[in-house]
Amino acid sequence: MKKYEILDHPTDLKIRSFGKTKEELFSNMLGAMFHGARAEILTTPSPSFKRRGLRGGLVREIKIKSADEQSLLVDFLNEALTLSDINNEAYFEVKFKKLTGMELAAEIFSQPIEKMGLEIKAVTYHGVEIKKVSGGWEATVLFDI
Amino acid sequence: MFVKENFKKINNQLWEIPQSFRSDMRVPARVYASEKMLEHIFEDRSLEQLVNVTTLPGILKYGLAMPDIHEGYGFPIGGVAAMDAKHGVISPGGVGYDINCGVRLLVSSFSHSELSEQLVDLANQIARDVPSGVGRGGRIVLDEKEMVEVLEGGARRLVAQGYGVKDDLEKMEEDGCLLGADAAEVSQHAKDRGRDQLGTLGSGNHFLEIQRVEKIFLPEVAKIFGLHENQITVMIHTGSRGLGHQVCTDFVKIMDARLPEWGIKLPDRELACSPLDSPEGQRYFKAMAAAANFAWANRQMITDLVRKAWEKVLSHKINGKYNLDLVYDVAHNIAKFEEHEIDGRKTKVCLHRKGATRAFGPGRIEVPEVYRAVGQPVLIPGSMGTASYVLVGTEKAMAESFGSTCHGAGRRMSRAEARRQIGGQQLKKELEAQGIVIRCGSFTGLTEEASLAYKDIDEVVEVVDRAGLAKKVARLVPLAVIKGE
Repeated sequence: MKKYEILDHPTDLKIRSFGKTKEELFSNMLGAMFHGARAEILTTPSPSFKRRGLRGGLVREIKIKSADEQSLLVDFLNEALTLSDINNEAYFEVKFKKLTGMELAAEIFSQPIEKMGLEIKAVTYHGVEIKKVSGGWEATVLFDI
Repeated sequence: MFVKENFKKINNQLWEIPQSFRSDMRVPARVYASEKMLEHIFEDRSLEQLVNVTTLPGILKYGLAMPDIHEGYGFPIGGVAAMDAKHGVISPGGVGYDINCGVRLLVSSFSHSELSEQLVDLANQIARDVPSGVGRGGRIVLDEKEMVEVLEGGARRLVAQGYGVKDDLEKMEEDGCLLGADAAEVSQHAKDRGRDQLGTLGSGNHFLEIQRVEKIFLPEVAKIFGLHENQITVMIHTGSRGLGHQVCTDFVKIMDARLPEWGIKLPDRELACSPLDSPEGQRYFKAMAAAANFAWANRQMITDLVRKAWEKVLSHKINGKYNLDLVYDVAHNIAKFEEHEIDGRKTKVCLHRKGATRAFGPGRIEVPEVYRAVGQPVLIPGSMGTASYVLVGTEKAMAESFGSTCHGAGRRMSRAEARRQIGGQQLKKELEAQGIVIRCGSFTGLTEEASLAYKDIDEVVEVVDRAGLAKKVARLVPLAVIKGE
């Protein structure tokens, strides 16, 4: 099962993710967001890394409650985006402590970035969809860029 | 799906969807477009979004769309709506995620021939001095106290600190500071995002351009604006960065959760709104105003960086003065309390402009005194490598469009399609062959902003000129483009 695909959209970034479980679905959409943003990871210590006092492998906690599961996905991604902008990081790994229909608690693991190739302003509720498909789940999210 | 038969033609530039088109419309919807442009507007969901806007409680007269209309979230981009200030709603979707994304124009005393040899050096110095892209902060990191001062003082705060002169403030909407801002309503997340972003350009369609005045259409107005043919100008297009994006995100979520309590049913979640007299509505206005002030401060800081870069490169030609004067600064994503005549009565409204520019006509107190006799300068940037325009606001705009006009070319093609149609290196060569110096963060980012991905700015401006919403004063062409990714 592929993890995600970037769909064509006239103005913005539209991503569809897949997963056998909800955790996998959310996790794949998180990684897809940063792939879609063309995050350039700082993989080795560099002058930029040292000068900016960056560190990798930090754990950021996210705890949210939302009105429904679609909102939960959007709010989760928005929280990760906010942390990314504040800390100059990207997150491709997540460990869920809780993921119910309306509540989420997770740890996301940081990788410092040089820059993003595409600026995502926000994750929108516009047309957000989570649905059951053969083999698992599929989600579609639109990102304002 | 819309077809031309859904519209009533008011004139060659103006079309109306009557209120009877859909049962939940409270007012008609109007679109400024040529007949040819209208066919393309049918291709996305922007008209459906415009009709959705007309369902909002308290909307007055009509929902409007400018000729650069395209699909957005909630409101279409290029949307204008006036809400009754007492009984209407305020909607973050009617402002946009990039609160107070806007444009300013600086003019120099140099002509093109006097600076042609220094263009590359100027572009290089500006690209070095003005941070752009995402992930690179600015030179200043605001502490908590400084952040509050910027959010509540806007460009005024920056000028008081020596980043500019008092004259600059008179040449901005709201004198660079929207009253009613309250830093306490801006979340910690938003402040943390904006902390190192003051004086940064961002990326995407944000840019800095060195330009030449190619043509003057209204010589008397141009003279008052300080413009003449072949003059070198600098245009800056950017907004409130991550701070503004976060304010919008925060309040869409807050308002979405409260809608059932207010009995507001929306055809689109991203139209999330609150009554203006509700705590949430008032909190959003205060936070939005604070984010708008951050954007004005941002453009003021960038102006200071550009002026210093100018001095560094041209010190042998400038006698101690920075030589770049501000013509005007406009916001094109904002909501403001304004007074407009509706059904013969002066009415206070909350005017939402999302991808639309204020175009106040002669005599308005909000227009700087030096320009008041002719009207407000309106700055419309074109897509990369194409022309930008300076126009002047009109009395007709006051009567017909709540003193509003378009904001730019309007996107018409996906980034992926743009990348399929042209490569970054090829595009750079083509632009350089036109004599345009390019300094950008990546070829991918350059390609995605190619002019083929946008509507034709000349056509868009022609519509608003013929409609009388704003009249052409000058056409500017790029000599150097500096952008992030």
